[in-house]
Amino acid sequence: MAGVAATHRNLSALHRALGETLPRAVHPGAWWGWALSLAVVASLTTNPLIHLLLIAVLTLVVTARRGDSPFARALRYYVFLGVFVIAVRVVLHVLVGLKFGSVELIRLPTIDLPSWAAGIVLGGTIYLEGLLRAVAEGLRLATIIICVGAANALANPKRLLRAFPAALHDIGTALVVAVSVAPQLAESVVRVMRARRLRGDHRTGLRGLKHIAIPVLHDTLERSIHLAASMDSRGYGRRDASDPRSERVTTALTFAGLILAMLGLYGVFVTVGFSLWSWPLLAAGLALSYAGLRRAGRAVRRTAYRPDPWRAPEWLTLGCGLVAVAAILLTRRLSPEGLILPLEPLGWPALPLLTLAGLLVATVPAFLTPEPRTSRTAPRTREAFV
Amino acid sequence: MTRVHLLLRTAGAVLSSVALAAAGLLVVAPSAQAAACTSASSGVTVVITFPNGSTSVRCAPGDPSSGAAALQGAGFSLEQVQTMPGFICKIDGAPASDPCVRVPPTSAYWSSWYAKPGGNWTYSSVGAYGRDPAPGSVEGWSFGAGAPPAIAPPVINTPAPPPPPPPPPPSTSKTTTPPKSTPKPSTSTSASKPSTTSRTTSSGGSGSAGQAPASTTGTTEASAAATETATESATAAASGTGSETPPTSAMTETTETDSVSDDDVTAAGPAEGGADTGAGSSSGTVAGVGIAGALLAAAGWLGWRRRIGT
Repeated sequence: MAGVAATHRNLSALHRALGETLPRAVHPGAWWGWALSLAVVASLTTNPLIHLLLIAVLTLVVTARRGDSPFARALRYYVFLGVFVIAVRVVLHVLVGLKFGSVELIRLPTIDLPSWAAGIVLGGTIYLEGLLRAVAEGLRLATIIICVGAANALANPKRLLRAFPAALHDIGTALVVAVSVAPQLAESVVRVMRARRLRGDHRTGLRGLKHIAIPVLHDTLERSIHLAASMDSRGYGRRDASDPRSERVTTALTFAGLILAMLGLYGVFVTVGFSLWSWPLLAAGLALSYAGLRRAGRAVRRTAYRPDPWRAPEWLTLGCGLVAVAAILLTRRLSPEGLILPLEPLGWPALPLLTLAGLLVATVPAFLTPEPRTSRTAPRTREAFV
Repeated sequence: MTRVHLLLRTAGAVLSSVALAAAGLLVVAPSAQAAACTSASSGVTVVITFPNGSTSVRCAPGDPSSGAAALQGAGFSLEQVQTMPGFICKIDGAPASDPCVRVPPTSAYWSSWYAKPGGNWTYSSVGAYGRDPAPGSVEGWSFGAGAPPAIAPPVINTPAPPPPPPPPPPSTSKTTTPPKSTPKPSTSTSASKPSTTSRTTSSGGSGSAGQAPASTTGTTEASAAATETATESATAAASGTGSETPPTSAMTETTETDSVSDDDVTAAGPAEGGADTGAGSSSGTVAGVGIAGALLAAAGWLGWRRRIGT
């Protein structure tokens, strides 16, 4: 206990050094930057060990720093989704996947397809190597999904909306509504099931589904309409009256800019055709899009009540994520064989120390950011839902 | 174990090259014999143009189930791109510079071709694991920017009389099927079978792990990888002795005499190196899982503390 108290004192001192003593929500952009950095880390490797470590890091930080909002409890649903993704990947491997390896597991019959579907083979003998690869790739996608889930749990997406640049506000609104659908649905299901249990209705299975699905859909629809109404009454989606010609110019600028940027990106990544032109094309495209968005942003006028500040803890959070990315990029440059699951020959996945160090740095926000305002840390005022 | 294995292989290779050299002294045309399949039903001819420009022709016996199986049946080792299953990255360890983590560029990759014997090369629209080559056809692989193999698809030169096999190995060239191996392989099988099993279960970081795929055949029996190497050397030797009989053909590829022995030795080298670096030891894995468990335990403790509200 004494040790715990000492750790706590030390942490408080560090918090004071960072200039943060009061509980407050860390800027949502910082959490999203951190989580997306970890998603980049996940996408760069097929080593299941690194993915397990990543999931552990995400869980730790989310447990330590999530708030009270319904979104904060969303992580587990993303974990379920990740498990589902792995299962689907394995089933697909058994059905149409590329079977290779030498350790035979199950022998299934092969179904040949006509020539227009060449390259697809249904069934076939399943080997351990191919199955492991399928699991590893499913795990990679699952980790990326859990990264997004962690960002959702740590940063209230509605607060993130306030931090969006003015021109992207409409897109941002659509995104936030889309991102928050899954946790809201899940919450609806929980609520409806609890209400049913309280009324003594214990039906399960398909018959129960009928009695859950309709109230849930009803509930979701009603809440969406409520949300739309409240957003409308707060002035979302309203613009200054502007003449249509200038709007057309804005659209043309943005559209042309995005097309140029796309061509430039293609050139940068493909490097076969116009490699000399790709960088100038990309720069011109980005500049044009920026000009278009600036013009569009002038039409949207809005203010934020109590905007989230961006101070030292935000930099720290973002920096920790970027350190993890840098560590894995360096690992890839120095010893890329540590980032894969060795399949041919089959072997244990290695633990690249540099990447491990980067991941441990990524856990630092769990301790060095201010605590979120919850009913426990801020008993007097509950933070209003945006 | 590895040493013994390697020793056996080198011994076999040396033996075969010596035998072939002796045959070369005896017969008018030295090589070209161990090359293409000798009849349409005996197997799939595999033609490979390596990054260094040399071309090697061999025969994959029987009816391989896929292009990759044909390659392995002909005694070539394969390595896939780790992040892109099914993409052939290395054949017999070439190109050595590629770490096989990402897909190689379009200017330097293994392109797959197929042809009828004596016909024209056709670029394959499916990968090594996708197409099932018919016995008697020709499979081509060429490294570079998608150019066909350096030589035309070889003609199947059927020896007019079925060659009378004087020595115990029955048929003439490399068309011998694996199960028909002579007493010599049986000893090496017993010696090296444990190495393959240890690879799958405990996956030792030993170099033998790297060698196994190099010698695995594409035939459906996944067993006895080492039998193959022994068979190969045995058949190579056999072809050396048997090469007096068949008529010589005007093949234009490089002499198979050298490539057999050289390939065997060089393939063993890089594969072992890869095994040493690629397969980490289980201690690293255990450490990683332990750290992940510790982090999760910390998360659980934090969550519990938060729930009881201290």
